[in-house]
Amino acid sequence: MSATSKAPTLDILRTKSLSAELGGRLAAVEQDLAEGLVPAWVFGNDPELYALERERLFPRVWSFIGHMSELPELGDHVIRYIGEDSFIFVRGHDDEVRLLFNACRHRGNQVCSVERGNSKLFQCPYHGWTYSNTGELTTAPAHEDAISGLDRSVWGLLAAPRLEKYRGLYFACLDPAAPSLADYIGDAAYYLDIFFGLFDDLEVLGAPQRTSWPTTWKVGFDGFGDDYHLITLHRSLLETGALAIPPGANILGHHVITGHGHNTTISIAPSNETAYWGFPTEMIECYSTAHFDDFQIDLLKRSRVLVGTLFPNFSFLVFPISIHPEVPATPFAQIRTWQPRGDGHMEAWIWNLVPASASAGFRDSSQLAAVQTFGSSGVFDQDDGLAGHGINRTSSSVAGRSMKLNYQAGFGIGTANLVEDWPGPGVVTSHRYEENSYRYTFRQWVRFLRDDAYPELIPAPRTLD
Amino acid sequence: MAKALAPHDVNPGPAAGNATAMALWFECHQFLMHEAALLDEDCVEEWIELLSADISYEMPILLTRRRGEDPHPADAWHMKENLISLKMRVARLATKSAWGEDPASRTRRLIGNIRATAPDDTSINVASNVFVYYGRGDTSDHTILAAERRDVLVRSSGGLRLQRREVLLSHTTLPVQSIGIFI
Repeated sequence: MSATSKAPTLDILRTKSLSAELGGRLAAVEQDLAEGLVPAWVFGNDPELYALERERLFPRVWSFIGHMSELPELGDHVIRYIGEDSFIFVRGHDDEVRLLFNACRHRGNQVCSVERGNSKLFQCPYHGWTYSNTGELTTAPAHEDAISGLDRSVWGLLAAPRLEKYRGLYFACLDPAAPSLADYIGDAAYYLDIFFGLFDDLEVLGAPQRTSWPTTWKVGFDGFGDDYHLITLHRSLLETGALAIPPGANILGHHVITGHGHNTTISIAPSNETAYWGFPTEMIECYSTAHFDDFQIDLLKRSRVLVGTLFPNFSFLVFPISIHPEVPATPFAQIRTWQPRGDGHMEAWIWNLVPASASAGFRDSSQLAAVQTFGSSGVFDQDDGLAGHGINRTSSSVAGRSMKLNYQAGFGIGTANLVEDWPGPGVVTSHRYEENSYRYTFRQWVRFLRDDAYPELIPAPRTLD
Repeated sequence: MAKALAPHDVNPGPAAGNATAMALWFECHQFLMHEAALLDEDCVEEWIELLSADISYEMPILLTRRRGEDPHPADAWHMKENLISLKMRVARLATKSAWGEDPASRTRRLIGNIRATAPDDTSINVASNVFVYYGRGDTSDHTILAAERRDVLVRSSGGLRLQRREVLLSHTTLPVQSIGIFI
């Protein structure tokens, strides 16, 4: 650390190099993907692979940290993770939002042990080095005897080198070589904007739910935008009437591959219908759409379900649901992260959001709709966990690791086709039973693991390949 | 300091010789044992019959916070249920495709530390601790879920009914992928 630099930032120590064996396997993944196949081992327990993900993937991608509404007051803070590394997401007394590495600069002990709080100072419990909520080292016990002569301006808490905001959503990246958040999100913003750029007053509904999944974090991006599994895995919800949109209607719509490993899927109502995900029209009309083009306005109007994933582990969902057909369906908006937590383990972090303009009644109904159906006890999630674990078991097995899993729907099999005249960005297929999206996500994943330099963010292809 | 304790939290239990308090404790004990047996034996439809029509069943999220700060900030929940949603969860289990709970998880509830007070003739405040053994599938993997439950029982013509339950889990991050059982 140079003695003159201010606001010290984090550097990543990379100790793992790609072995010839794993490098060969990753090269073969790219060949398999071109045939619509994914080797099962990518979902399996594999210490070498996971170590590479920790060093090469998570520090270099943009990781979701939190929503600005989680830090309403000066001094508010919560704990957040990049990969498995603990950070303090804090609004300092100067009203600036920062992401500070949760480690004392003296011996490295965590300076913040609470998950949510409001503090002027963070004091390390070991020797007492004390930092302001802007990260500066302010004092230490016996400071004259112990730390006089220390340049406190360079011994503050280490800040994440990159913290940027898209529509109230904070993302961070530990690699100074990474593109800006806007460039990283790229064309996916065109579709995220339909929701996140419409409601400019979104608020989180309390603390995130967190659950432990005995599987790889990759089942998150692989399964969250998958519409095909609704028919079987979530059939109980069709039988009980909780799923208001039957499969025959839900299949209608589009999968959009926007490049960079991101994907979006939209269930679209016929052109003469208004959907707005089930939001009341009068509520939608309170918000400006002046920054949308005509096609975005049409998508907004007809969107029944909006689901997507930003590479690698940030997913979002907007759709209306009720646990019971007699209770009117209410739309809810949800963000999830698929947090790695050791090889073969992950945590799902689940936030629900609502526009601040919503009535108290709408707010409660929206939260209930999510809590009862789609969350840590949700009737969807109960079944999702089964499949997520099952994939990992097979993919960790000696017999199953070499299996090639089939991702050919919309790429040789089935009836989903490319949409040639799509007015928006990306490569688009319709209907929604297609699996090309995940192939492009895996392609991006391979690049992050293989490339020593910052990898190319793969643009959306002109045609499926 | 932490939030004030409700009367049943500090109730040391019935003093020997206090027949009224012992009878109340025994009545609650029997109700909770019966309820646990129904859930352990997967008799969820019968369990629903133990609920009052205005049942409120909540499982708030727990956060690691400083002493003196409420670790259940009451702005987010793992479960927040009424009779309609609880019945729907049970109805789902009866379908042919409740994959996550069919085959059913194996549960054993161990309930203790029962503390009961009766603020009036019609309702009883009962606090209890519960450990739930939770296992699934063909391996020895299992999880222990721990919680305190703060219940309100009401007297009806058919016996005691559960009107309110707050399940205060001892877990910040759930040790399971999702909660598909009733605690």
